[in-house]
Amino acid sequence: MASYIELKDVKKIYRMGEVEIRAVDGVSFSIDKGEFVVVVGPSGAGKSTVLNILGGMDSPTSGQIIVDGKEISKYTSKQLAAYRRNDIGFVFQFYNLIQNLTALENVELAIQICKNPLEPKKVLELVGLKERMGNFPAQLSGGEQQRVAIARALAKNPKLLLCDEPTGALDYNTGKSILKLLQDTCRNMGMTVVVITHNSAIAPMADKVIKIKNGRVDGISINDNPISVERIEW
Amino acid sequence: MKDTFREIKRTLSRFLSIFAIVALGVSFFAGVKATSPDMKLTADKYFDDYRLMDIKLLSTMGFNDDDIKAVERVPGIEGVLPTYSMDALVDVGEKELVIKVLGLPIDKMKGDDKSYINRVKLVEGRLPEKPGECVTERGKMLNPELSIGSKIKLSSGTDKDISESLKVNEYTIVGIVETPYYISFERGTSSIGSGKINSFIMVPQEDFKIPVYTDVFLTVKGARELFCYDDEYDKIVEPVKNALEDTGKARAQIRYDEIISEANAKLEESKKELSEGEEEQKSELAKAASRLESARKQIAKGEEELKNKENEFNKTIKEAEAKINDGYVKLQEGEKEYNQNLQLFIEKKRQAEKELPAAEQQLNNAQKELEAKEPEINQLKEYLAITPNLPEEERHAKEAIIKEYERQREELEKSRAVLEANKKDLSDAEAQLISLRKTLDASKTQLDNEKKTLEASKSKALKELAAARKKLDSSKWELQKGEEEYERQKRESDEKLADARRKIADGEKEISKLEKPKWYVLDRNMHMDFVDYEKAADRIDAIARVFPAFFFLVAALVCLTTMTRMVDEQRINIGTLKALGYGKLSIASKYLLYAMLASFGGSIFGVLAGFKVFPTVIFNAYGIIYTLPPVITNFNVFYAVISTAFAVLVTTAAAWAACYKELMVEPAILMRPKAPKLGKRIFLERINFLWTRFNFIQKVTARNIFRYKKRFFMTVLGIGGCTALLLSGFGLKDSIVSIVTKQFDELYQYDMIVSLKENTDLSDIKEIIDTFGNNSKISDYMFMKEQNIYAVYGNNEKSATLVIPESTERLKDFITLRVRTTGEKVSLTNEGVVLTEKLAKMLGVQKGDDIYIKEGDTKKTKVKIIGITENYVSHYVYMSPTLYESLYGEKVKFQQIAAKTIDTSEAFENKLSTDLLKNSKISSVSFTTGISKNFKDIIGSLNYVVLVLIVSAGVLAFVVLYNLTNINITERLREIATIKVLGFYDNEVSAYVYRENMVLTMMGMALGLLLGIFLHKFIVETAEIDYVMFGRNINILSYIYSSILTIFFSVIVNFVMYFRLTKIDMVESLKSVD
Ligand SMILES: Nc1ncnc2c1ncn2[C@@H]1O[C@H](COP(=O)(O)OP(=O)(O)O)[C@@H](O)[C@H]1O
Ligand SMILES: [Mg+2]
Repeated sequence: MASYIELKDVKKIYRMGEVEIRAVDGVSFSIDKGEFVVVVGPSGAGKSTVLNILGGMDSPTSGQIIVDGKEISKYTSKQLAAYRRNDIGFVFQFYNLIQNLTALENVELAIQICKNPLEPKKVLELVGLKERMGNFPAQLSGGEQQRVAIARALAKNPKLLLCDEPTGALDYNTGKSILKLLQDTCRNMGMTVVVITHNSAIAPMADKVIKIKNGRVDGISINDNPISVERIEW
Repeated sequence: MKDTFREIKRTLSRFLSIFAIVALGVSFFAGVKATSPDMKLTADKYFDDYRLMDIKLLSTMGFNDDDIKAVERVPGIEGVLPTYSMDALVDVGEKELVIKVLGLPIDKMKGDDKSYINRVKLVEGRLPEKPGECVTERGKMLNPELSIGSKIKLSSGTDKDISESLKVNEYTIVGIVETPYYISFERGTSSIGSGKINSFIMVPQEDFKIPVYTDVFLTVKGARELFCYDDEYDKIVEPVKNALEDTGKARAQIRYDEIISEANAKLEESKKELSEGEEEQKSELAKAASRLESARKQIAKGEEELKNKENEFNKTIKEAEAKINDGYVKLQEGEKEYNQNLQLFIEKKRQAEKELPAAEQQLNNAQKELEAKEPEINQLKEYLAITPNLPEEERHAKEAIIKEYERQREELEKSRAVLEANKKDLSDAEAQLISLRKTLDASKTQLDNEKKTLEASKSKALKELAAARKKLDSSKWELQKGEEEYERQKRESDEKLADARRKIADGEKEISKLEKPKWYVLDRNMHMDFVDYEKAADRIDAIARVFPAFFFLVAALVCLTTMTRMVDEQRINIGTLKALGYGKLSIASKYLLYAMLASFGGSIFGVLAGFKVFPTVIFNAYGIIYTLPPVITNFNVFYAVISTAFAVLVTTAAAWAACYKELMVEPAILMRPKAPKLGKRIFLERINFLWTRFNFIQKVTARNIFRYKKRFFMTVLGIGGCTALLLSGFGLKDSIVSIVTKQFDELYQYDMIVSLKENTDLSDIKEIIDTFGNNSKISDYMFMKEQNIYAVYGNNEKSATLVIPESTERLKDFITLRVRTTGEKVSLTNEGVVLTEKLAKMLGVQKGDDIYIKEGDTKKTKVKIIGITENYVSHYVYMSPTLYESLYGEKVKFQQIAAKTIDTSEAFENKLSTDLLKNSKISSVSFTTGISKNFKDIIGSLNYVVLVLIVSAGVLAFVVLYNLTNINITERLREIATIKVLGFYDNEVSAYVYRENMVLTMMGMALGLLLGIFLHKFIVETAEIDYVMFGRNINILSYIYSSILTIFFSVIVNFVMYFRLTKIDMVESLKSVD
C-alpha cells in the first residue's frame, strides 16, 4: 500500500548564472497518515525547500510528490492553490500573522475559503487563547502569536500541517508548549504534522525523523515509541 | 555607489516610477510653462526674419512725398516703406469676397533692402513680376478660385470705379505667400461687401493709382535684436513713436495749411468764377433781353405796318371794287338806256319803216307835181322876170302863184328834209345805238378787265399780306421761343450760379470744418494679429499658471511618499550598516543618491522631453488659427532649473528625512523588525450598527484602509490630486466652451449689430428706420448707443462700454439681463445702472453701491448700481435712456442698431450685410454668428490646450495610481504571500488587494472631485483674461468623465498589477524577516 505522502527523487536546482545550486538534490521519503514527522538538518540543508515543495508553495525541478494519491508535482499553480487551501496548514518561524487583524480575525480570514473549517473560536480555545481572541498580534507575545498561527492553520482543518521552525523565534518554554500543542493536535485530531527544526534534540517526540543534509536525505528513523515533548529537555 | 545601483536594479520598478513621475511632473510643468514663451519666441523670430513693421503709419489724408521725407528724417528709424492698400470685391463662385489689396514693393525685394518691410514668405509658385500678377495666402477656406493660376477680377464695391485706384483690375494669382503681417485668420473689417475682409492679395505696388500713399511701414533701429514681447522692445520703439507723432503733428499742420490754402485758392477761384459768371450772366441776359426787346419792337412795327397795309389794301380794293361796281351799275344803266333806246329805236324804226315809204311817195308825188308845175312857174317867172310891169294884180296873182309854188316847193323840200332828217335821225339813232352798243360793250370789257385786274391784284395783295402775317407770326414765335430760351437760360445760369454759390458755401463750410489731417502712429501693440497672438500666448500662460504647479505638486507628493516608504522598508539594512560602523552620511548617501538619480534623471528627461513635446503639441493645436513657422522649442533655463531643483529637492529631502529618522534610532532596534504597529480598532467599529453589517472581508478591508493613515492619506491625496486635475481640466473646457453659447445664444438675443456713421442725424435715422422696417430679412430691431467709458469705484477704474437701449422694455428682446446664479431677470429702471458681473467683481462693488461713470479725463457722473447681470465677454454698463438724458442733459444719440434676422446662414448674412452697407449711413454690420464663430475658433483651439492638460492629467493619474498601488503591494508583499499560502486563488488575492485599492480610489476620487471644484474655480479665476469671464460651472458630464477616467486608470493599473500579484513568490516573500 502506498504511503499517504510519497516524495520520489525530488530535486530543486537554482541556477545563478553559471552556478548551479542544488538546494534539494534527490530527496525521497514517505509519510503516513497521522504521523508526526520531524525534519532535522543543519541550516541551509534544504529542509525549508522540501517543505515548501511539499506544501505546494514551490514546485520541484524534478521528481514526484504524491499526496493522498494525487501527484502534486504535476499541479498547475491554480491546482496548487486549491491544494494549499484545502489540504495544507502552514506554520512559519515568524508567524506571518496579519497585523491588522485580531487573533480571531486572523483565524477567520483563513477559513473564509475553506470547505469545512473548524469553529475559529473553538480552535483558539484549543490553542489556549480563549481570553486573547480580540487582541491584535502586536498585543500578543511571540508564543501567543505562534499559537494564533497554529490555530489559523488548524482551523482550516487541513490534511497536512507543515511547520517550518515554529519555535525558532521563541524561548525555550514557549517553544516547548508550542511543540506540545502540535504534538497534541497530531495525536488528538489524527492530523499529519511535519515539523522542521534544526534542533535534533526534539527528534524523540516524532513518529518519524528525517535527517537532511546538503539537499539529500541523510537518514530516516522511525520512533516506535515517541515520547511526549514535556519529557524532552534540551 | 555600487550599493545604490544594486538597489536600483533590485527595485527597478520603483526607481522607474519615481523617474517617471518626476519626468512627467517636470516635463509638464516646465513644458507647459515654456509654451507661452516659446510661442512668443517663435513669433518674434518670424517677425524679425520677415521684418514685421515696428510701426505703421496711417493718416486721414494719406501721405505725400514730403510726408515720407519727413518720416525718413526721424531719428532711430531703420527702414521706411510707403505703400498702398485698399479693399476690393471679388466674385468667387456664388460668393462675393472682400479682399484686401496690398502693395508689394517689387523693386525692393531683390537683395536685403532695409525698407522692404513686412516681407513675404513664398510658399508656392512665384512672386508677381509684372502688373496683373498677384500673390495670395493659402487661406482657411481654400477656395479653388483663389489658387495659383486662377484669375480674379476686382471691383471697388463703391460707386467709384476701381480703375481710379488701380491700373489693372484683373489679376492672375502666381504664388502663395505667408507674411508676418497676417498671422491670424482675422483680416479685419471693411466698409464694402459683407463688411468682413476674407483674404488678401498682394500686387505690384506700381499697379496702384492712388495719389498718396495709404500706409507707411517702419522698422526701428535696434528693435529687431530685442524680444518684441518684452518691455525693452517697447522702450526702444516708444521714443521713435513719440518722435513720429510729433512729426505727424507738424506734417499734419503743414498739410493742413497746404490743403487749406489750396482749398482757399480754389475757393477764391471759384468765387471769382462765380462773380465772373454772375457778370456774364447779367450782360448776356441783358443782351438777350435787349435783343428780345428789339425783336418785340420790330414785331410790333411789322404788325402795324401790316395792319396799315391791310387797311390800305382793303380801302383800295374797296374803292376799286366800288368803282368797278359803279361802272357795272352805270353799265347796267347804259345797257338799260340802250335797251330802252333800242326799244324806242326799234319802235321808231318800225314806225318809220311803216311811215317813210308813204311819206316818200307823197313827197315823190308832191315833187312830181312840183316838177310838173316847175316849167309853168319857170315860164311865169321868166314872163314875170320879162314882163316886169305886168299889172300888179296880175303880177301879184302871178307872183302869188310862183310864190305858192315856191312855198310848195319849199314845203316839199322841207318835208323832204324832214323826211330825210327823219331818215337821218333814224339812221343816226341807229348809229348812235350801235355806237352806244359799242361803247357799252367796250366799257363792259373794260370793266371786266378792270375787275380781273383787281381780282388779280387783290389775290396778290392778299397773298402778300398772308406772307407778311406769317412772317410776323414766325418772328413772334421766335420771340416767344427767345423769351423762353431766355427764361431757361436765366434759370439755368441762375441754377449754375446757385450751384456754384452753394459749392462755394460748401467749400467754405468744408474748409471751416476741415479737420487737420491726423496721423495714426500705430506700433505693434495696435496691430491686431500681433496682440491677438500675444493674447493667445498669454491665455496659455494663464492656464499654465496653476494647473502645472498643481500637477507638479501631485507628482512631488507621490515622489515623496515613494521615497519615504522605500527608506522605511530599508530599516534593517540601515541598521546593519550602522551596526557595522558606517557613518550616517555614508549610509544615507545610498538613499540620497538613489533619490537624486531618480529625480535628477527624471528631471533631465522631463525637461528635455517637456520642452519639446508640450510647446509643440500646444502650439500646433492652438496654432490652427495662426499661420506661423514651426514652433521653436527653446531650452528654458529658468523653468528647467526651478522644476529640476524642486523635483530633486523634494525627492532627496524626503529620502534624507526618512533616513535621518531611521539613523537617529539605535542600530539594535533597527535590526529587529520594526515593532509592528499596534493593531487598532478603527472608528468604524464603534459604529456598531454599520460594522455588524459588514461581512468579514469588508471588515478586513475597512480595517486595512483606515489602519495605515499615512498610506491612506497619501493614496487618497495622490489619486484625489489626479482626479482634481482631470476635473479641473474638463471643467476648464466647460467654462471656456460654455461662454460662447451662453453669451451669444442665451444672453444676446439679437443676431446683428449695425453701426451708423458718426455724422448721422435724425433724418438719416428716419431713413434707416424705413430701410429696416421694409427689409423682410430683419424681423425686429432696436436702436442703441454704445460709448466707451470708465467705471470708477474708489481707486478702481475699469474701462467698459456704456450701453443705452432705445427702450428699456424692449431691451429684453435683444439682451437678456439676469442674475447668473439664480437666473432671476434683472430689470433696467431709471434708478440706476446695471453692471456686468466681472466688471462688478473687478470693481469690488455690489448692488446698491454707487459708482462713477467717467468719460474722457474729467467728466464724472455718479450712478447707483441697481443690478448685476450675467455676462462673459467684455464689460458693459447698461443705462436707461431716461436716466442718460437726466444725467447728461442731452438726448441719446443712437449709433447702433441691434437687430434680429430671419436666418443666420452665411450666405444670408453676407447678402444682408452687402445690402445694408450700400446705405451710406451704415458704417459696419456684424453678426453674432460671425463673432461667436470667431470666438469659437479661438476657444476651440484653447480646447486643444485643455485637452493636452487632460491627457497629461490622465497620464499622471495613471502613473500615480500605478506607483501607489505598486508601493502598497510591495509593502504588503508578506501579507499577500501569507494569504497566498493560505490558499487564496489569484483572483481572490487580487480581490483582497483591489478591494482596498478600489475603496481608496473611490475616496481619492471623491476627494478629487471636491478638490477639483476648488482647483477649477481657482484656475478659472487665474486663467481668466481681463475682459472675459469664463463660466463658473462644471458640467455633470465632466464629473462623470473625470470619475470614469480615474476608475478606468485604476482598472488598468490593477489589471497590470494582477500579473505582479500572481508572480509574487511566496517562498521569497516569507523567507526573510523585514
Ligand atoms: N531562491 C534561491 N536561490 C538560490 N539558492 C537558494 C534559494 N533558496 C534557497 N537556496 C539555497 O538552497 C539551500 C537550501 O536552503 P533552505 O532550504 O532554506 O535551507 P534550510 O531551511 O535547511 O536552512 C541553501 O543553501 C540556500 O542558499
Ligand atoms: Mg529553513
